Amino acid sequence: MSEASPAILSVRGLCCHFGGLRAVDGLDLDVPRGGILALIGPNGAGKSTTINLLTGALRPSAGSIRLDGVELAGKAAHVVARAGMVRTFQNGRLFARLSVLENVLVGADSRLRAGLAASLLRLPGFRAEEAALVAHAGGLLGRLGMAQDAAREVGTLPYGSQRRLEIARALISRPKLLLLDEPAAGLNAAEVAELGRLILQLRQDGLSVLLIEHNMGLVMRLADHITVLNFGRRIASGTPQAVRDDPRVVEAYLGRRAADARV
Amino acid sequence: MGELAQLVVNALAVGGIYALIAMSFELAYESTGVVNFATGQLAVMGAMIGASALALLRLHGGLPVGYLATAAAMAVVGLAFFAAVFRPLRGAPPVTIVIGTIAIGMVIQNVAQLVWGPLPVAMRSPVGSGTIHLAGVALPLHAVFVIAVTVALVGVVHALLHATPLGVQMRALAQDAETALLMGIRPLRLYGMIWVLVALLAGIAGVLLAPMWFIDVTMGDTLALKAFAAAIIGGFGSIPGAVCGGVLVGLAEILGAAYVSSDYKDAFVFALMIAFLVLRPQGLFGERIGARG
Repeated sequence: MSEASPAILSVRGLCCHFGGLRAVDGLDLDVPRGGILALIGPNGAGKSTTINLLTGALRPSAGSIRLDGVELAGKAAHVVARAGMVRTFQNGRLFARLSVLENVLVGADSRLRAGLAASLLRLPGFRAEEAALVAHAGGLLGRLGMAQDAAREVGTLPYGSQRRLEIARALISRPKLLLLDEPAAGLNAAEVAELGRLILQLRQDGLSVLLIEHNMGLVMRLADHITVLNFGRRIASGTPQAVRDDPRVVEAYLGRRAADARV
Repeated sequence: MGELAQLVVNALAVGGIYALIAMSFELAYESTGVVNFATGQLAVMGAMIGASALALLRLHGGLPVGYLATAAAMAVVGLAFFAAVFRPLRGAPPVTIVIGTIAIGMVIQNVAQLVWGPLPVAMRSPVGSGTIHLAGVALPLHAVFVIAVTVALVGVVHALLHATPLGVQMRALAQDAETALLMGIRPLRLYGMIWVLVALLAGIAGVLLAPMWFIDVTMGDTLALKAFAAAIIGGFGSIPGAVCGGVLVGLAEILGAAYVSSDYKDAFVFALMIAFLVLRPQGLFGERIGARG
């Protein structure tokens, strides 16, 4: 579509007011096409609200959200997901009573045409469609090193595998933009390094990523671009180097004194 | 010995029908959270539509066309139920939705009374009224047919829910609708399909029951109560439980009527249900409910 536009996701003037509280207040952000944007900020800065606004879980009070040129502000969650923006969750939201493979298949609705009659009667054309989906889901699990876990109950998986499974579930819909909500939270150093490699690999395949993360080492290593949020507003935006040296960012994280001391 | 075998086959057939109604009930409850008090009326609707369709279409293509037309009509009833009750009340408090299903049950019952009148309908079985002889015991062919259809339907529904991506998505929607939507699942499409399935299962139960009992338009609540007992005995929220519960209810009812007194056949069913409520309130397969968290 708008192949010329350098941003796959372009957010302008996004607002979310709960009564008098301005959780998100006129936010602008751009995720570069095929790149990684990290959205960082201290606790309570509005990151979670932002991701809920982007994915349609919350309705913005104002502003525009354009994914690949398509306006998505105020659209229902499943419409946003089908438009190509899918998220993972900070605090694990897998389907506990489904197997690992089944969890991945849940993400595949946008690619499933078989209706009730076809699924009940096991019509051959749709069986091929199902087989292709199951094969794709198995391939994704293999890529994430979880092929041997396909039939397991989700609850019995180690924590790190559960986080990777969420990524597989998001990827099966072939999204344009993957939203990762604190994917490194609770992982050990080796798992974080592994996660970093995976995210870079996904970018190499052409996927654009919006990364919300507290692990600054990971953010600095992965991000092409960083947007810093505080009190629901963008206080800085730029390359990792530029953002790290920005006194407003230091102040937001460490307080004014620390910022003065550094300047 | 022969008499007992006959009774057990009849009990399994009746139990199978209760199991189908209980499955309809469970499917609605599990995947949409709605306790559907119109389930029994849906079964009666199936019997009434089936009897009329077979009578009307006997000359035009015969039985298969009549059954297909009945299934199509029940699918429409399911969609109408979805559009009239579930969709407008989505997000309403559970009590409101329950009252909505009671209201729609009364509407169905009274419309059926206007259309079909108060007289019970009789329906011929697709396999006739003969018997088959197995190891010297004469078994009613229709009862054997009902058991076979029930087993097949349980298998088909189980395969749908566990072996197809569509069924997996239905289960995901039931477990955590919010996350399912964020993964791109189209809620109206899936809920619509679930209500079609709910109406089909209840309707098929009615069609299977009509050749065994006379069915009149007021029977819905009696059937629903038996299915409700089956659901409690099997473990609320479990489809395998609904099947086992249905069979147990059928056995209690038929064997109690034959060996003790047919005046108390309903009492045996509810005594069994109360015994389960007191001694094993989670039912036969109840551990799944606790695991839902």
